[in-house]
Amino acid sequence: MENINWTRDALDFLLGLHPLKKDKDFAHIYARSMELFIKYAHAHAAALIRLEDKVTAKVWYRTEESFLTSPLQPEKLRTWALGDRIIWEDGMFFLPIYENGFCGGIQLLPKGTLAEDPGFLGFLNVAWTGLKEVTYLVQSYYIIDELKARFNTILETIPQGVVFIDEAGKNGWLNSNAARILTLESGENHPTAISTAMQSLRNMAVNKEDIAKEGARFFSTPGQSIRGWKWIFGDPVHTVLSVSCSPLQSAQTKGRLWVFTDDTFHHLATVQLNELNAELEEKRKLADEQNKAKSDFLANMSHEIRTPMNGVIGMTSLLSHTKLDEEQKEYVDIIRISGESLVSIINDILDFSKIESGKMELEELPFFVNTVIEETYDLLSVKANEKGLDLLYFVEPDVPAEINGDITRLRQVLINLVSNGIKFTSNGEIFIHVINKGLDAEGEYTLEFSVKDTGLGIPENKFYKLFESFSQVDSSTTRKFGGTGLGLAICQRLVRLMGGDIRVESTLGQGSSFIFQVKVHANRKIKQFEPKASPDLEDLKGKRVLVIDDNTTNLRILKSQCEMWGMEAQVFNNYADALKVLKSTSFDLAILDMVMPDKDGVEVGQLIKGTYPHLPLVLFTSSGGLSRSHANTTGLFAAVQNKPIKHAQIYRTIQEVLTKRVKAAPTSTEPDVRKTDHIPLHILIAEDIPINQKLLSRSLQKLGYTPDLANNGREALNAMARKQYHLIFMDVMMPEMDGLEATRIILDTYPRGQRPIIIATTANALSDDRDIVLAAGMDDYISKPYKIQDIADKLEKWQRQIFETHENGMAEL
Amino acid sequence: MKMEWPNYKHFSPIVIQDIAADDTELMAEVIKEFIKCIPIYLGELDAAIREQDFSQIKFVAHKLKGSSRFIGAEALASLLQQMEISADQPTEVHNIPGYLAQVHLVIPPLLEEVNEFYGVLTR
Repeated sequence: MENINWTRDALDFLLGLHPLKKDKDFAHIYARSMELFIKYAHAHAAALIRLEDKVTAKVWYRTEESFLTSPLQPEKLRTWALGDRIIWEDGMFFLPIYENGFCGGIQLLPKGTLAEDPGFLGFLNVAWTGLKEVTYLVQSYYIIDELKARFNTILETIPQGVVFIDEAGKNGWLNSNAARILTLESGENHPTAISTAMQSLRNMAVNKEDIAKEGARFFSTPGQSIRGWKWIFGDPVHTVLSVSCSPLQSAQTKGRLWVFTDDTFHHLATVQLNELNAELEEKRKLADEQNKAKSDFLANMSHEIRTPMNGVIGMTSLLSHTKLDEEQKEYVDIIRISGESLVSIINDILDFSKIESGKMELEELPFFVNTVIEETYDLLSVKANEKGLDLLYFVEPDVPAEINGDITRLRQVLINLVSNGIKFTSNGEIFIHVINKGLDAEGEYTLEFSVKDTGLGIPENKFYKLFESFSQVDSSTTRKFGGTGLGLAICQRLVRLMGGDIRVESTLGQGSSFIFQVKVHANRKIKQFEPKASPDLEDLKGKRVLVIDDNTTNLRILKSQCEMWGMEAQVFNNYADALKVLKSTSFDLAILDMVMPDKDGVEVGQLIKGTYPHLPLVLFTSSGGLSRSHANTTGLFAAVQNKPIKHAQIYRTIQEVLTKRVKAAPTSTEPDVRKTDHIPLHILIAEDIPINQKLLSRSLQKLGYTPDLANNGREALNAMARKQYHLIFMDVMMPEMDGLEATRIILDTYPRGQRPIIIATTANALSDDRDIVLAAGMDDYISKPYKIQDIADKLEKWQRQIFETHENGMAEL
Repeated sequence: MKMEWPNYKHFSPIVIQDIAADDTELMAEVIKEFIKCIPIYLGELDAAIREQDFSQIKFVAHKLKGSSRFIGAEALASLLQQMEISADQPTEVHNIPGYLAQVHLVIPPLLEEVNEFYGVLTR
């Protein structure tokens, strides 16, 4: 080949490339570059190869159609492309190009022996640099174009209107949504046109003054951004734009980016929500005022009504203790009964209102399950006795003995249910059964109480009415049986407050069961004020007991109870079968019920004693002691128990009889301090000296009571917080808190009618001391040493008043 | 009910029998409590007199007086009544040590009799 001036050719090549840098047509750039390269390289052919991926290589441009038509070797080419030197192989040069995302190279077929010419190689290196530059440029244009296309798509797709205006006021751009809003063409727009359009738009807004104010504040500070600028259109509002504007800098261009978002739905929803909130706030304020008014009313009415009612009932009670003729007594009784009914109705209504208004709060104090049932029965025993109904209960052994809860409210529920049971039952029994329905992971028991009667029953289609307020199953029963129709409604609400619910099961003519559940924790720290002897079951273990009672439920209870104490019990509902068994089986004890068909308990006792004189007998009777007609039978029984029967008492009686610690039955030569009108009383002894505690406690037990003990005035107050007492024997001088101080606190805390009778026990019998205790507010006094008769006299003096007052007080619960 | 008791000089079984309504078991319990409480009360009295704590003297004397009356120990009860009254009157407090001395004289024979009675009850 003639001498080629490679340096000149290299320069010419580069000069030839230069104009291409302004070309925007990528394909033309590549084609022209390749043509220049062939010309100045004096080559046969050249091809631009791009590696698409690791396994694909494509010829993008070839100067000759026939050049490089055989399959390429992507792997080899990739290795070459990633290298940094020109490759000479198989008579061809490969100039690798790896620039700005382009991976590939140029394959060159040189002429003749140019490959050996050093000048040619120098040319190739210069050309290679130029080609790489061009590729880089083309790639950049390509990337920019791609980005431009992508952002254009995004800007056209988003729902917002986007506007850009440069600071210099030369360029402006808006997407199609912004163009629609501003009624302009999308794309490039002169900034003046855009500004004018925005101004027009602002002037159409109904809140243009606010917009102007906000705008003025915004534009007064350069470089500020604004967000959530509301432009509201129409009355009523049909469009709301949320406008934001931020400074923007891109390369050397500074400007502002405006974004218009259609906020119509959100704005209208917010307006509506605000209106609703304002309305709710008004209603809440009104409800609060009404609630407060209701609470104030409740509190006032409770006091205003109860105060005169207590006065009426208290005065009636005092009146009944004065000298009255028969007619006057009858009138006073009617006033008393009417007053008590009125108090009961008022209490129901006030209680119901309190619960409905959410003002009822429950206590959480420990109490014994047996206690709440026994107290309920104590209160209602007179009514039950009048109808000859048995009051029975059984607490399953797996029920915790002492639980934490509100004894007052639980008692209220039981009183209501038992009272209803007595009301609607002519004969038979009321039976309370308590079972443990389970213990959850938090240590909370679900206890189920069922109150079952043997009364009228309730038709199933009336169940739904039972727990509705002011509803009676049969309105005619209101006239016959009385009642506000609130009792069961209150029970339901109280039980729900205690975490449970209540239901009824009933069979017409057979009776009904009211079943409710409560959730409670067991009290692990058992405190007892009563000096109970620890149960010594060895005394009873293996002993055989015979039980005769026509009440099968009672038989079941007694049998279970005796078996729990380790005894063997055989039960019979008639004396004939029992006598047959007696012939072949020996027993340690026989328990008889007083009221039985054919022969009563005394007659059966006489029959048994006639044949088995050494078998101790225990009688359960509904009246206190034996009636006068049976006086000659004293001595027949080792013990006589009054109903309702308390399990602890049965235990003590059986234990005493079996261990032969029998008290001598009263004979006609000894004073009989047992009263036939035995009304169950809750008595507390507040006394610090053990001798005095023992004497008073035992004396009361002989009289048929089971007092609680407190060692000082403070303990007495604590005991009163847990249990309602009818009477307290209060020693005057005690450590920690004396009787006078305790009395003062009791008077301050408990209104008349809801506090116990306080009898001072004093070792000083002087009149000054008597005056001191009475002036302190105590009701009576008894001087030490006192005899059992003295105590009995005091109880007889106060018990009628206590019962009347506390029946009303209990009804207030 | 008539029961026969030994003759005692320092207390009266009839009183406790009456109060306990002939319950011999209760009588025994009360006597036992009395025997237990005597040294405790005496100790408290001694300490209160040493510290000249007159309200405590009055308190303990009052308590022991009551217990004494339950078993018919009138001589002891009377002494304690005097002590109680003196403790309440600043001009009489100087008599208290004398009363205490007499209490210490009365109690041993009383305790001897009461212990014997306890044995009779629990035979």
